[in-house]
Parts: sequence; C-alpha cells; structure tokens
Amino acid sequence: MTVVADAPIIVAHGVSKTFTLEAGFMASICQRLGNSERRSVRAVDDVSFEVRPGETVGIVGESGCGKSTLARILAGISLPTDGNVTFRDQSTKDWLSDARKALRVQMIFQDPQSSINPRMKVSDVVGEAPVVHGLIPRARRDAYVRECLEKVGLDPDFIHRYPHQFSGGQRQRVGIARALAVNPELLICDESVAALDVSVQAQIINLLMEIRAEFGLTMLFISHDLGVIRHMCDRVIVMYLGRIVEVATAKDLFESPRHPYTRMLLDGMPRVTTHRREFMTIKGEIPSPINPPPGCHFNPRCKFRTDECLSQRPPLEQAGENRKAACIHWRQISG
Amino acid sequence: MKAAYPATPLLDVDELNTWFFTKAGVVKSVRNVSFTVGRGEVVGVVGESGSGKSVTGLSIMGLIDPPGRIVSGSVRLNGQELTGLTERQFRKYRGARIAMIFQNPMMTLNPVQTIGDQISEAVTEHESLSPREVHARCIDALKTVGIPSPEERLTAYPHEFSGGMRQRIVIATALVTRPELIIADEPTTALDVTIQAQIIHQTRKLIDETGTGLVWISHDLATLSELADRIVVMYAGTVVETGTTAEIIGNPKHPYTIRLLDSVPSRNEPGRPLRQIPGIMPSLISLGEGCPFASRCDRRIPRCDQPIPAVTPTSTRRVYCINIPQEDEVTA
Amino acid sequence: MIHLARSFFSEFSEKPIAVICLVITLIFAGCAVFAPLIAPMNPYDLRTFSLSDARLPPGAQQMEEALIVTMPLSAQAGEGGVEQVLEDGTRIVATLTPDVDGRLRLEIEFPDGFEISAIRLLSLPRDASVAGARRHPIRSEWTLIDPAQPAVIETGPQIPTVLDFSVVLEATSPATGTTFALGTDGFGRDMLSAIIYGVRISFIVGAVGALGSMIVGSSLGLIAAWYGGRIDSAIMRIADFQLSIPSLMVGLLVLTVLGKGVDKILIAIVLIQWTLFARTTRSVALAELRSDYVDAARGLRLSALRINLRHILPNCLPPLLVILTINIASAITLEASLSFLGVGLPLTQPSLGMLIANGYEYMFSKLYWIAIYPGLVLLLMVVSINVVGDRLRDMYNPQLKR
Repeated sequence: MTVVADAPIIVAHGVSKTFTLEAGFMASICQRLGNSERRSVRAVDDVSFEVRPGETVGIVGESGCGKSTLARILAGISLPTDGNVTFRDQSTKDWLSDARKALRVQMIFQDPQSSINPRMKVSDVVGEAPVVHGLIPRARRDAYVRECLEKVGLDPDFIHRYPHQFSGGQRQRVGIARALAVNPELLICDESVAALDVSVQAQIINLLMEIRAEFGLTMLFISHDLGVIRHMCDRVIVMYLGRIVEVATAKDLFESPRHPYTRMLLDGMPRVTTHRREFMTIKGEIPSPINPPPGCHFNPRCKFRTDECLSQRPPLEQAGENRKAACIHWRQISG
Repeated sequence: MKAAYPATPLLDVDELNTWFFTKAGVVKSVRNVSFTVGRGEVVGVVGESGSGKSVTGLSIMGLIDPPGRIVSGSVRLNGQELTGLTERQFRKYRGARIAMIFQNPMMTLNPVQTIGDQISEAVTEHESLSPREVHARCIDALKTVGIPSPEERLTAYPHEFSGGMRQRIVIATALVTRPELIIADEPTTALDVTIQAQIIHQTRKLIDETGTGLVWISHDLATLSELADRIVVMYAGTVVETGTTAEIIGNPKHPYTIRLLDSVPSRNEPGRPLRQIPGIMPSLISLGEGCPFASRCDRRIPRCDQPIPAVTPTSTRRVYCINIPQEDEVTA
Repeated sequence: MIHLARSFFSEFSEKPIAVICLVITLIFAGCAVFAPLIAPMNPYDLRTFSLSDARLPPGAQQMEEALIVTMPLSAQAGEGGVEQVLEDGTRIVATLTPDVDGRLRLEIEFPDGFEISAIRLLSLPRDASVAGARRHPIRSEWTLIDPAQPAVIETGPQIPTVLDFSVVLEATSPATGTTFALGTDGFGRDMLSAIIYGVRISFIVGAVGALGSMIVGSSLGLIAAWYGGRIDSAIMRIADFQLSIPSLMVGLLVLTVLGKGVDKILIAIVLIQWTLFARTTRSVALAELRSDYVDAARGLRLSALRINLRHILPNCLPPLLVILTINIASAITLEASLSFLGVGLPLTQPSLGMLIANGYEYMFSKLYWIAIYPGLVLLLMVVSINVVGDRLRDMYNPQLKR
C-alpha cells in the first residue's frame, strides 16, 4: 500500500471522554428533581492532533491529565464520548470493525505485573492473537513465538514459562513481543518504562529504539518522565487536566517552553546534579479532575494569570514555527 | 541556614547483615553494609530492586520479621545499640526517636481515623502533654508541611486528601514527635513531579531547621542528587560506594556507579542508544564472597572473586572496588 | 504439569486431617462409582427383599420365604391319608388312623432333613379338639405345639363317618447365608446396600448439582461483569431476590412443581446454588477486567467470548473451586433434607436422606440402626468434603494476597 509521506497515520479530531460517576437509584431520582448535579469527570477534553508516519510523538503530563485514557482511545480499546479518531483516514468504527486492520495499532502497558495474564504461558500470550487472526497457521505457532522472543532479546526457550517466573524487565519484553507478533504500524507505549529500575529502563528504551528502526514503526510515547521523553521523541504534546496545553518539537519544548505549565514541569523535573538545588516555591496542588477550575485549568497555579484566564478556555493556537500553545500570554513565557 | 553540628554520627550502621532463611535457601539481602548519618544531614541510599536498600531501612527500624533476622553487625543511634533490643524496648524508640515514612501513605494512615486523631496519637504515645499542647503541636506539624488551613483539616479523613497531601501528612506525623532520625523509603516515587519537587523542598527546609537526620531511600538518582548531602550506592545487598553528592555524581569511582549514571537518559545524546549495563542482577541466594557486580563488569580481574576491602581515596569517600578506573582512563 | 500437581499435594498435605478427609472422600467417591459391584444386594430390586425380613438387627441372617404345603385330607370312618410330593421330590405323607378309645391319630411323615417350623390343621369341626395343639382364637385352626409328635384328634363320642380337613405344613426356610451387616429397614431392605446406593445418589447429586450450578452461575457472573449496566443489575437483583428465600423452601417449591426424580433434584440444586457462583465470579471478573492484560486482549482484537473464557475465567477459578467443594457438601445436605421432607426421590430409590426419614420413627425404639447408620455416613461424607474445601481455601488465600 503506497502512502504519501506526509499523510498522517493517526489523527484525533476533537476527542473527548467523559466518565459519569454512576448514580444509584435514589440519587438519580434526586438528579431528575434537580437537587443534585450529575458528577462526571472529563478525562479528555476536546483533544486534536496528528501523528505522521515514522515519527515518535511523546505525550507528557501528570496524574489526571488524561494521557492514559487518550492512549486507550487511540489504541481502539475504549471509545470516545465525543469526536473521533481516524487511522489512515478511516474512522474508528470502520477500522475497528476489521480485526486484521485494527491490529495495526498496538499498545504496550505500564505495569509488567498486570499486563500479562498470570495463567497463560508465554507461547499463548504471544502466539494467541496471530493464530486466532490467521496470521500464522497453528502448526507454526511455537516456532513463530520463538522468533518473536529472539527479536526482543529473550531466550527462545522461555516459551513454556509462566509470567511469574520472569523479572519485571523480562515481562515488559514479553509484552513488546506480544505487540510485535501482530505486525503493527503504530506502537503506543503507555508509561512502558515507568515501573522499571534505571538500568532495566535503559535496556528497554534501547530495545524500543531498535525495533522502531528495524520495523519502521511510528510511536506514541506516553510518560511523565521528561528525561525519557526528550531522549525518545521527535515531537512532544503536553497535557494538563484533559487538555493539550502545548505541542512542539522536543528540542523546542525543552529549550524554550511556551506554556507556564510546561515551564513548571521543566523546573520541577529532577536532574542529576552535583549540588543541592535551591527550589523555588511552587504553589498549589493538582486540582481534582471532577471539579477543574473554570477557564484555563492551570490558572490557580499560574503566575502569569489575568482575569481573562479565569473565564475563558484558551485555544490551542500557533505559538511560533511548528508549535502551538494554549495560553493567551505565551509570548511572555518564552525563555 | 544549617548550623554547624558536631561530627559524632547520629546513626552509625556498621557491617550490618540481614538474611532471610527461606525454604529455597538463605537470601542474603543485606551484607556488610556500613554508613553513617550526621545530625541535620540527608543521606541518600540509592539502589535498584534487589539492592537491599529497603531491607536496610527496615533493619534499622527493627522491623525485620521471620524468616529474616539481623545476623550480625550493629546499628547505633547516638551511641545506643539498637540491634539487640527486644520489641518492647524498641517501641520506645520507634516513633519517638526514629520515624519511618513509606512509599504508600495509605500504609501508614488509617482510613477510618481523622488525621487529627492520628497525629495526636503519635504524640501522646510517647509524651505526656496536655490536650491543648497536643493540639498545638498538630497544627504546627501541618503548617510546617504546608497543608493549608490546618485548623479545619484536622477533622478530615485521609481519603479527603490528594496523594501528595497524604504523604505530607505522613511526614507531619513522623515529625510531630521531634525524632532524631527519619528513614524515608521511596516517599515521593508515587507522586507527580511537581508535587515531588514541593515535598523535597519542604523536607529540606525542615531538616535544616530541626537538625533531624534523614535517610532517603530511593532508586531515583536524580531526586537524591538534588536533596542529599551524601549518597550511599547499593548493589545486590552491599554498599559499593559512599561519598558526598558532589563526589559521587561528579566523580563516580565504582564501575557500577559510573554505569548507572551513564544510563540515565538525560546524560545521553537524544536518539542514540543509551549506555546500558549488560546482564542482570545476580540472585541473592547464590552469591559468592567477591564483588556482586563482577559478572557484569568490564573491569573484572581474578581478585574480584575475593572479599572486597574498602578503598578510601578521601576522608569522605569509600569505594568497594579494587580496580577503580584512574583519572586519566576513558570510561567507555 | 506433574510438577504443579506434586507441589499442590505437598502443600495440601501440610494439614494431615485434610489428607485423611480427602481419602475418606475418595472412598465415598469409589462407593458411588462402583456401587453395583460393592453392595451385597440391590436395594432397588423389589423382588429381592420381603417384609418378613423387615427391621432385623445388624448381623441378622436373611430368611427365605417359608415353604407352605397344604394337604387336604379326607377320612372315612376316621381313616384316611394324603400324600404330596414337592417340586424337589420330597415326599410328605399324612395318615389318619382311629385309636382304640375313639380318638383319631394323625401322623405325618416327612424325610429327614426337612425342617418343619409349624403344622396347622384347618377346617376341623367346631367341637373337635386336638391334644398337643393350640387353638386359634378366631379361626378354626389348630397349631401343633410339637410338630414332631403325632397329633391326637378327638371328635366327640362317635367317630364321624366323613371327616374333611387340611393339614398345612410350614417348612423352616434354611438360612440363606446372607448376613445383613447393618440390619434391615422397615421395608426389609439391607441397610448396607441401601446406604451404599444412597451414597451413590448423594454423591452424584452433590457433584453434578454443584458443577451444574458452577457452570450456570459463573456464566451469569461473567456476563454481568462484562456487560455491566442494566444486564448486571438485572442479574444481581434476581440473585438477591432468590437469596432472600431460604434454600430449602426454594427446593420444596421446585420439587413440588416438578415432581420426584434425580434430574428434578439436580434442577432444584442448580436453581439454589447458582447465586453464590454468580456473585463470586462477577466480583473477581470485575477486578480482572480492570487489569492491563484484558486491555491488551482487547487491543489484540480478541472476541469477548475468548477473553472471558480464556483470559478472565482461569483467574476466577481458585475461589470458585473452593466454593465448588463446599457446595458439593451443601448439595448433599440439601438433597437429604428434601428427601427427608418427602419430596425429591421416589420411595424406591432411597437416598441417605430418605433412609434417615424412614428410620426416623424408630429412633427411640430399640431399632436404632435404621436411622443412625445412614445419618453417620451422611455426616462423615459432608464433614470430609467440607474439610477438603476448607484446606483448598486456606491454600489459595495467601496466593491471592500475593
């Protein structure tokens, strides 16, 4: 299939995901009578962006920013309440309906403990989907799984083992093998190295970069660790409380952030240093996503805020060449 | 500003050995670990999983349960030996003179008690003060960790707070008895970066003001380097290197420390393969007497299979390696 | 696999009592499977027992039906005789001869070895009397006191011209050699055989019933967890509603409507026990559905059926298996209670419960064995299955915490 080089591989159009906290019978009656409000969380709030073939886009943010929810929507594991996702110009419903096509987007998860079924052998974990979807004949399953394990640096004899017999790093490799086994085009890594030790993390990061090059994969890399993001990603999207606040190339973002939150993230990021650091007093907690502040979500913690920030949601607008920021004062922040 | 404190160590850990006697074999989680902590000093213990750093913290606190026990070595708090104490005797120390903070605040906080009750319990357990004094101490403790409107929040329950606030409450509870030493095991690992930065900042201020000693156990070198005065690097149950932060980070001498620092993404060129450590950590059951890192070290020599003595290039440093790369050698 | 089984057994046998109970349970299972081979008699075959054997104590011998030979004797002037040859060639002769003093002498000849338990004379004239015999209070029947001695009949001052009467011989049945090890019940059934067959029914009802409930209940639980929303609420409300009715009443209702029979009892048990399986499966499944591996399976575009059966269900099995063992015991008790109450199994297919019920009326007379033995066996079976189930639960708990 010939693809125009620039045509994006996956595009999110105004994706939103709202979770309503389930109301019991009595509570829902009260709601109808107008006595209490429906409690809902806007985990993802009108997010639009695109990913081009071959690039690695990082999504960074702290808890409550919605990156994991967004990841699952992009992977086709959950559905948005608003907006849609197109994969190679096919809307979600269409590309999900064809199982084989839908296999082209795969996800790698954070927790090595819970991301692999403890009661399945490695040969089943990795080999199940290719057999079920007819990618390989059943007779060839074990041989194919061995090849997959080798590609991720695991001993092929491990196919008969159970997950609990592996270390965390090895389990992550099994997860990567599982995703690779179905020949994906787009790999979404949701905090895939967060639960690993530093030295194991380095190994897995190197592995991801290797397979990215070998298989020409496009990647979406989600993390809270700016150091890893900087290392792996071409472009970075910064999210806060469900909204995109900044989009830029990795270089631009780290050198000159254009959103106050990005600034705060970069300042707070722990750096390996030889001397004690003097911290600036950063104020405020991350608000609860159930009741986010009105207007710009970041305004309670922002030192650049003005009255306008309290009432209006700042649009994600062009903030320089090839970058965007959702802040009406972005010009003052550069530096 | 940090006042000048005398150099006698607040905490002196000497050749500590904590082993676990399991059906599968003897797991030597902590082997011959030695380091000191001075008053008002922050010592960071860094290591990966299996390095024995948490078990070291628990050993100091006397919280090792069977099948584990402290096999040999000593832990002295202000000269007082802690390893031989009975549980009863230890309770006078725990909470009052040494406090421990864990990674998950809900391990420490009781979900069905108000935080006011929990903090005051910590006080009344060890000191007899009037209710008014206790109340004042609690408010004070919450203020120092930066909880807004402490008066009102004393009657709140843990679930009404965010993760970062909860951890701060735990720190407040630890501090309210004015202990001499605090041991913190991965206290900010589960928290967001910005919150972590705040807590580290506040902790640093507190240490400077109260002169409490702090042992901060973590796998995150970056956080430790920003907070600690001295660093203890552990690998597979032993200490491989100790020194001031500047020395360890700026001029690491043990091959493991060098490799560990090299593998941090921010110290590598973006997009290039990270300099990773080959191999995996050995099992703690079948360890020999020599250096545990030898199997993964490119500087290994036959003598590395013998017990490794400590090398002290300066008065503040200790390196457990007999083949330290020289200043002019290029570390790959 | 062998390695898993071995480590399972070594952990299981840490509690010796559990091993003992496991052995007992397996013995009962063996009884259930091999019942026709082990039981001395078939308690279902109505021909093999008779009421004359009823309520015999443990250790009693089975008696065969007595052989009754009726010989009509017609005497002229006090003289007559009759001869009868039995099927096996035995020849019995009865002779009547007058005596000097006007009495009639009756002699009966039979071969040696032929045991006579009683000789009765029927249809003698009202005013006749027989020396050496007892007269029946109502009927005209005389029973000889000593069958070996001849009887002397007095018919009054004169010997009648014609005298017709019958001589009835009852031959003692030889002991068949079958001992009723545990006695017999009110119907003459051998208790040991009835108990063994009863164990078989109880075991089948227990195992199949509990297994059926597990299949039905777990399926509903998985469906409730997967779809959530209204389907979940509906299933759970039905379960709640059913749990509010005592299980015995549900059983009574069902069996009264459906009638008697093993299959009807199985339906009743499934209807009673599915709720616990459904709830447990649902709560474990809800937790597992939040795991990343389920998301991974969705990402791999596996079907809902496959995810539930291949990925989620195996993780639900440990607590389900524990509930299964305990429910087997509970199903057995349930069936016994229902049979005790009279619904459930037909009279001719006694289960342990029915045996207990039948023996209940004899509890306080000296015929203790009719209720006690089935009761003890039921107790032992239920307790050992419960201990095995407890041990399984204890074994699996720390692993769940891990």
